[in-house]
Formats: sequence, structure tokens, C-alpha cells
Amino acid sequence: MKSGERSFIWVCTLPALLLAAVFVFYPFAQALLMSFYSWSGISDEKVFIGLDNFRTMLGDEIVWKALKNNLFLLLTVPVLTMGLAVLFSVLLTRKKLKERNFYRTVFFFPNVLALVVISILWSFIYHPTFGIVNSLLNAVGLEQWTHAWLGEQGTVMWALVFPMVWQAVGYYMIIYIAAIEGIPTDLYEVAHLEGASEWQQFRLITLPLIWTVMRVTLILFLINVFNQSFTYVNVMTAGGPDNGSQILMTYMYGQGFANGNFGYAMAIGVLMLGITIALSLLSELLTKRETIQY
Amino acid sequence: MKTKAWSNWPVRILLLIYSVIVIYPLFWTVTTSFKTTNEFYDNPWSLPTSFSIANYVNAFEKANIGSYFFNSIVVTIGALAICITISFMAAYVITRYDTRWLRGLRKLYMLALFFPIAFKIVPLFMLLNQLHLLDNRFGLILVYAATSIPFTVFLMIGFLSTISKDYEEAAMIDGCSRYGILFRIILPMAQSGLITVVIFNFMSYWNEYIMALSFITTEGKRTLTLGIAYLMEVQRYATDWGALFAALVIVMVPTLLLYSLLQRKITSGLNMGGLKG
Amino acid sequence: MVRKARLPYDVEERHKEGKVGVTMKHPLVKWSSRLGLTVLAVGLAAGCGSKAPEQNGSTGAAAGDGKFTNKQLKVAVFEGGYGKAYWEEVVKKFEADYPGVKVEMTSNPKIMDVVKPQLVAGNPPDVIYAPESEPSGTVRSLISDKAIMDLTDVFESKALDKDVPLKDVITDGLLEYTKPYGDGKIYYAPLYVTTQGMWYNKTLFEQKGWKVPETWDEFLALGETAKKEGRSLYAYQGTSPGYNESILWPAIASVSGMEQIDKITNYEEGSFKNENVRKVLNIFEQISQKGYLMPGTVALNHTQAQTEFLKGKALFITNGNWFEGEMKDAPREEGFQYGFMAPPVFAKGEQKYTMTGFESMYIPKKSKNPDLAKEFIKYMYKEDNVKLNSEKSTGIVAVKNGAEYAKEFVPKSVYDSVKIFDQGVKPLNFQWKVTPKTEVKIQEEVFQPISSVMNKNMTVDQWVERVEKAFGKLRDVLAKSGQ
Repeated sequence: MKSGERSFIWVCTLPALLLAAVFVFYPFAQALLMSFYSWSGISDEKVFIGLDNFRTMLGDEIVWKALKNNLFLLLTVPVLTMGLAVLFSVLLTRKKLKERNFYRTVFFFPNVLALVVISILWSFIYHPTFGIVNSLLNAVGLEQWTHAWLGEQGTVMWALVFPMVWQAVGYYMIIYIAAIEGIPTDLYEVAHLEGASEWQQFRLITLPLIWTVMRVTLILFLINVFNQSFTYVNVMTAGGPDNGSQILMTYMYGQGFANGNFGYAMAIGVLMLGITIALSLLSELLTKRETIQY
Repeated sequence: MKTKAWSNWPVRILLLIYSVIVIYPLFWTVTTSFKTTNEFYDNPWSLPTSFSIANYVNAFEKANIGSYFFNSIVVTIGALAICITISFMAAYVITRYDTRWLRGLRKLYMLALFFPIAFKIVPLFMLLNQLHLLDNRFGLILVYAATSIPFTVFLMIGFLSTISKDYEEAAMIDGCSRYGILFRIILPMAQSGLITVVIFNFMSYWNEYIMALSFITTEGKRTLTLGIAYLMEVQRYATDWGALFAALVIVMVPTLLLYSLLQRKITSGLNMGGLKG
Repeated sequence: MVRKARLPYDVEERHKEGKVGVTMKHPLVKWSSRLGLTVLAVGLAAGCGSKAPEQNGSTGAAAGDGKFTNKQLKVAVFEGGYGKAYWEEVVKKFEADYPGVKVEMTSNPKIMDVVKPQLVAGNPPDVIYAPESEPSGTVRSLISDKAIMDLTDVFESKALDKDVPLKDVITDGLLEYTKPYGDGKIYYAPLYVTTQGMWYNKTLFEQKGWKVPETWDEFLALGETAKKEGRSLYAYQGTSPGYNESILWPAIASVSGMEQIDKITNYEEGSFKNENVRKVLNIFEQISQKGYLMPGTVALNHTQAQTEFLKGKALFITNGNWFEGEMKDAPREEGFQYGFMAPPVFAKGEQKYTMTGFESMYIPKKSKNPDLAKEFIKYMYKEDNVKLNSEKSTGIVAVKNGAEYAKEFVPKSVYDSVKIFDQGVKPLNFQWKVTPKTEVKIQEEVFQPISSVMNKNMTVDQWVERVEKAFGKLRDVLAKSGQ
């Protein structure tokens, strides 16, 4: 390699690497390290305590509750979002509706809103006395169905799922539409001639062909759900009622910043990291169905 | 496709219902932002009796929305400039040259895509404190830029690998330097990819919340998302619904505007980015 | 400036961040509990008390001149319900009285977020005024890290404007709650006192001819009356169930005596699993089971719940005496008038209690200028400054006669809430025993279950078990640290 080339490579890669090293990789390593210490975050007293933080975690019921809630979101949000996104993308491509651009535009709207804005908005939608949901139920005579949606253990997690789905559907729909538009139309023509129903066409042609795309999106989406749920929970419920919507991230944040238990917070962080790694491996495996070329 | 016309109606109704689910809350936010607190309490569903802009005046005067707005713009533009420039350069080299070190670098960035943001918040807080960049907009800019490097590099690699090498070879023969090629040949050609990346990063910086929440404390340095969450929290506005909704509208407008202006770019760019992975 | 409720703000914020810390707002231990803590502590205290009063604390204004070699003083002020107007004035006065002294005052509603990095960097302010319950948890960390300075000498020394020790200027009995480590030494300098109890709409009760309930039976009986009126009996601050402490602890004290409170604050085994405590917890369960809770309460934040109360949706709510100031701009029912009462008792004639709390100033151990900082704290208790404080902050300062000094400046309901102590009600100050770092947030473990009970997801027995379990963990933590 010529030296000019070498210096060119360095000049181009170093700035990004340097910045990422300082603000991404270093804190990451720090976090791993801190999980073995007891430290309040404000004193000089940093005590190495080995695996004690992890032991504490095992006996901390809130951690398990939070983990369960995390998994609930990781399961329901992607399933609902992708289900709806696939449905809409199929409807918008297969049914040649005149106004389909309108739907495309509108469904994508929530995606450009700040999560904080969405969270605040949905807090009002769920508001027990004047929220849209309860008002609607009252208006159609279903008073007994009204709930304090964000205040009851039985409803709070589902109440968090919907804004997350609402926010993400449009994004995935757009991606799937493009994938479907890339499928040659003669495949459908043939299927139609052979008498395949719409459902069969979807199952045999559309789904297999957009599967690759779905796989890529699934992994990124899981990570997104994991990261974004913090904002929703933080703004909408603060983990309540009685830890009913506590997730690992909010709990970690609370232990680290409010309870002065930095080491413990990082141990929870390590658990989270383990989950994201497991998730990406899992989704890789789950979706490793034959991808079909056309 | 020989679908009978009537069979489209159930589909249409379904799509319309979902459209209402999307639009109504936004519409409600806008109408509420013109109502007084008492009007709101009387009937949260009614349309405002008059289009008073008092809530907006409040949002700017009492709630300091103007300075939140300014901070968001500064932070977003700063982070965009830094992140895009260095990620573009790194991505170009990673796509064009094949060395073991660059392959490793590429893997490293891929790996970093999976780091949960919340995980590094606490050590980052400590680090910024040591660097005297805590509660500092420039600190936030650096953190934002750094955090989105992996994703930006990842997307840029996707775009850059679609550009044929022939252009560079031709330019090389014409005596163009490597830097000349990078900025005069590749940059213009990667334009649509760059725009996509800019849009993505703009959205994520503009809407970012966790890091701003953790690293910014002074009221005068708050970004919009932080300011609006604060508005929702803090006493005096919790009973002043109007100002809160006005503030919500003020936050929503720029992104919605940007979206409608660049709608085509966003959706097509999103596909490129989304599919290239 | 709106008198943004400092406490509710904190509690809410704190709650937001997913915690309500080791000790919630205000302390409340009885003195006897402290006495019982360690015999050793008494010895230490005595040793301390016999130390010569510090020389810096001189009387005259100009006397401060020349006594302090370091003339830079950094003061960090929590800007909450009491605002910052007082601090701006008093800093100017202090600088005038102590020529050459330069006070650098920072105020912020999230002051501890500003202070925290300075603490980490080992360069803290010299004086901090912030409620223990502030949202960042930094004050609690300072306390549990034992990173605050012993102030015993300040209170043993002579007051700046009176010929008595400063400790005699402070509200009677209050200093007993400023000794968090059971070593007999004072670490907090109390600044404001608050009262927390139950509120009702005076006008409504007069119009309807309802009697303010003396006993819990009378209270619950009003539940049916309220229902007929289309109202609910009770509301609390929904997402911050910790507010219910102003009912829970006084009710336990009334039925079981202060000894029970002492046992609880020391996490004694079985102190919660107790018939009398259960009786009190049952009140909450009955409110839930009989449908006496204001609909939607569990999902409302504190201002929302309080607004609904003002609009007449519920007959009673619990809150501190910052209530009226906090809700100044909120819509309300026609003719609404704030009525304050001590929580009811089980049998007529039982001793009534009402919770009080206080907000303090602290000097971090790493302060660069402790002498001047101590002088500054003493300065706060000068009579003219106390008056200035009440005038500017509309708070009641923690000195004898503090309420009288404040009378002309504060809303009537604030004054009323303090006056009940002249009517046979005893103040109750609740303060959890300080523990080393732990993941258990005891205030949450006790009060968060109220949401579950109200949602009918939890029984009183499960509630009791949960608290006992948390107590067990805290006892382990204390045992490990050798306390």
C-alpha cells in the first residue's frame, strides 16, 4: 500500500473513531467495570465488591418485574407493529386505491414526532376523566369499560404498547411497500390464473419475498423498542403504579441517578446488554428461513 | 388486477379508521392549544370558542420555548455537521479499501449498533463532568454526534457501495487527489444518500430525550423535548393546559414541516437505508 | 412568581425518576428512638457539647470583619415553592454586614443537579439549602455517605442577636430530628417547617351541615353521604402515593403510640406486622373496597388530583400546608375554602397527631470555607432575617414563634395548619433511620402498594409482608455495616 493511501485512510477514519472511542466505547467499558463496584457516584469511595451487585439483583423483585415488562414490550410491540405494517403495505400495494398516497403520508406522520410529544399526547388520550378513550367509551354507553389506563396494573402495559405501535407502523409500512413493489407483478398474474386466493398469494408470494427485509427490520426494531421504551415509561407512568410498568432502563436510571447506587445501576445495565445481545442472536435464528430469490 | 370495485370498501373503511386514529390526536392537540384552561375543563372535546393566541404567547414568555427552540437548533445542526462529515469519510474508506483493520472497524461499528443507549448514560455523565462538558451544549453535540456514528457509517456504507468505482478511476487518471475525489466526485454523487442520513439524524437529534435529560441541567440550555417534558411536570403549567398544548404544537411543527417538504426523499431514502442492511 | 409547591414538586419529580428515596420528605423520628440507638453516641455528644463554642460566631455585624481569612462563600439554593427572593436579599445584607466577603449564590429548581458535578469534582458549595426529598437523590446520598459536616458547635454557640445559645432559638424539639446518625450530633440546620394533614372544603361542609369527622368510623360513614351527592370520599396524589404518609403515620401513632413509630423507623422486625398497623392499613382497603376513592385517582399526578379535589370531586385529600399557594391558579368549585384537619382517630379521646416536616441547610464536609459557612447559617436565624425570610418566601421559619412572624405574609390556611398544635394535636416528625447504600427504597416499599390496594391487586396482608421483607433487607444492610 502506498504511504499516501495509508495516510488517507488514517485521516478519514481517525476522527470518527476517536469520537466514538471517547463517547461510545469508553463509557461502555466503564459501565461494565463499574458493575463490580459499590459507589454512590458522589464520594471518593469506590469499593470493589465483585459480583455482589449481581447477587443483589437476583434478590431484587423489582428487577424481575422490570425484566418481565421489558420482554412483554419486546414481544407485543414488534408483533403488532409488523403485523399492521405488513397488512397496510399489502393493502396499499395490491388494492389500487386512488387515495393510497394519502394513507402513506398520514400513517407515517407519527414517526416524525418526538417520542416525548407522543408520550405526552397519549397521557392525555388515556386521561381518566377527560381522555379520548374514556370519553369515547362513555359516549357509546360502555362506562363499565372505562379504566384509569395508566394507573392500573392490569392495563398499564398494554396502554404503553399502543403509542409505541402507533409511532412505528408507518415507518415499517413504507419499507415493506417498497419491498412488495419490487416483486415482479407477473408472479401474481400467474398465481391468479392458477386460481390462488388473495391470502394464498400473500402467503406464498408476498411474505416469503419480503422476509429478508422483515428480518433486517426486526433486529433493528427490537433494539429500538428497547431503547425507546425509556422515554414512554419515563414520561407516561414513571414506572407506576407500584412498579407495574417499571422497565430495566427506568429502574437502572432511578438506582443510578436518584438512589445514588451507581454500581448497582450498572449491574442492571449489564443485564440489559445481555438481553440485547441475546435478542439479536435470537432474531437472527428465528428469521433464518430460506430467503427466496426471484 | 380484477378486484371488484365494491370489495375495496372494507379495506377503505379500515384504512380510514386508522387515519382517524392517527390524525385525531394531532387535531385535538392543535384545537386545544387555542383553548383557555376553563374551556378545556368544561369540555375537552369542544372546539375553541375563539382562536386566541394567548397560550402561544404564554409558551414563549413564561415557558421560555423560544430559547429551548434555539438550543435544539444549535445542538442539532452542530451534531449533524460533525457526525455526517466524519462518518462520510470513514464510510467511504471502509467501502473502498480492503484491509484487515478496516474490516475490523466495520465490525466494531456494527457491534456498536446494538449498545443500548441507557447503558452508557451514567459513565458518560462522569466523563462529561471530568471534561467539564456537563451541562454544556457543545458536550451534548459531541455526544450526539458520537452516538450516531455507528448508525450513520452503517447507512453510508450501504449508499457508497452502490457508486461505481469507474468514476474514481477516471478522476484518478485526470490527476485528482484522493481528497479531491472524496469531496468533489463522491460527495455530489452520494447526495441522495447523504440527505437521507441527514434527515434520519435530524429526527433523532431533534427528538432526543434521555441524554438531554441527564446532561443538561440549566434551564437556559434545555432543548425542546426537555423543555416540554419539564412543562408537563412542573406545577405552574400542569394546571395551564393551554400553554402545554401550545408548546406541543410548537415542537411538532418543524418536524411535520420538514416531513411534508421532504416526504419523497424521506420515504425513498428510508427504503434504500432500510433495505441495504 | 407562583409558589410552586416545593414538596409536591420534589415528590413528583422524584417519582418520575422512578424512586422515592430512602427517606422521603421529612423526617420524623421521635427523640426517644434516637436515645435508644447507642449509648456510645451519648458519650460522644457530651464530648462534643463540652467543646468550646466556636470563636467565629460573634454578635456584632462588623465583628465578622477580619475574622475570616477566606472571604469567598459559595451558596447553593433550591428554588422551589419558596422562591429565591429571600436569598437574593439576605446575601446582599450579609455582604454588607461582613465587609470584604463575597457570596456566590446559585439558585435553581434542580439545584442538586448543578451541585452534583461539583461534589464529584471535590469542589462543593459551602452551604446547600435543598429539601432532603429533592429529585436527584443527591442530598440523600450526601447523608448516607456521611459527607456532611457536624454542625453541633453552630447550635451550641451563642445566637448572633440574642444572649442565648442558637439551639434555644430553634423551634422546640426540632433539633432532635437533625441528628441522622444517632451519634447525638447535629448535621442539619432546619430552615422551614411544614405541616401535612387532611384538607376539605369548609364552605361545602357548612352548607351541607356535615361534621368534620373525629373518628375513622365517622370518616368512612361520610363515604355513603358523598356517594349520594355524586362525589367521592377520598383522593390522594395518584402517581405519588407517598403523600398518604400524612395519614398513615399519625393514625399509627394515635392508635399505637409513638413507640410503634420508633420501631418502624428502625425497621424492627414485626413492627409493621402488627394488629394496630393493620387496622390503619385497613382504612385504605375499605376506601378501595367500598368505592370511596375518587375515580381515576391512581392515574393522576399530584396537581391533577388536587385540581379534581378543588372542583369538588372528593371530600378529602391529603397534602401539606403549601397547598393553597401551590394551587393558586387552579380552577375550583364555587366558594371553595381551604379547611385543614388532623387525621381522625379510632376512638374519641385518642391523642391526635399531625405530621410536620422541615427543610434544612447543610455544609458539605469538603467545603473550602466551613467557618464562614457556619457564620452564614447562624445569620439566617437573626430575628430580622427570619422576618425577611417569611415575607419574601411566605414560609414559616423553624424558630420559636416562627408562625407568628409569618402570620401577616402567609395564606390563612398555612397559619391555621400550624395553629392546630395549640388545640391538643401533637406534631409528629417521621424520619427513617439512615442506612448505607442499598437498592431498597423504603418509602416506596411502604407507599407504592397503596396503588395496588386501590386497584384491588393486593391485600393488606400482602402489603404488610412486602414492607416486612424490605425491613429485613435494611436490617441486613445495617448489620453488615456494623451499625
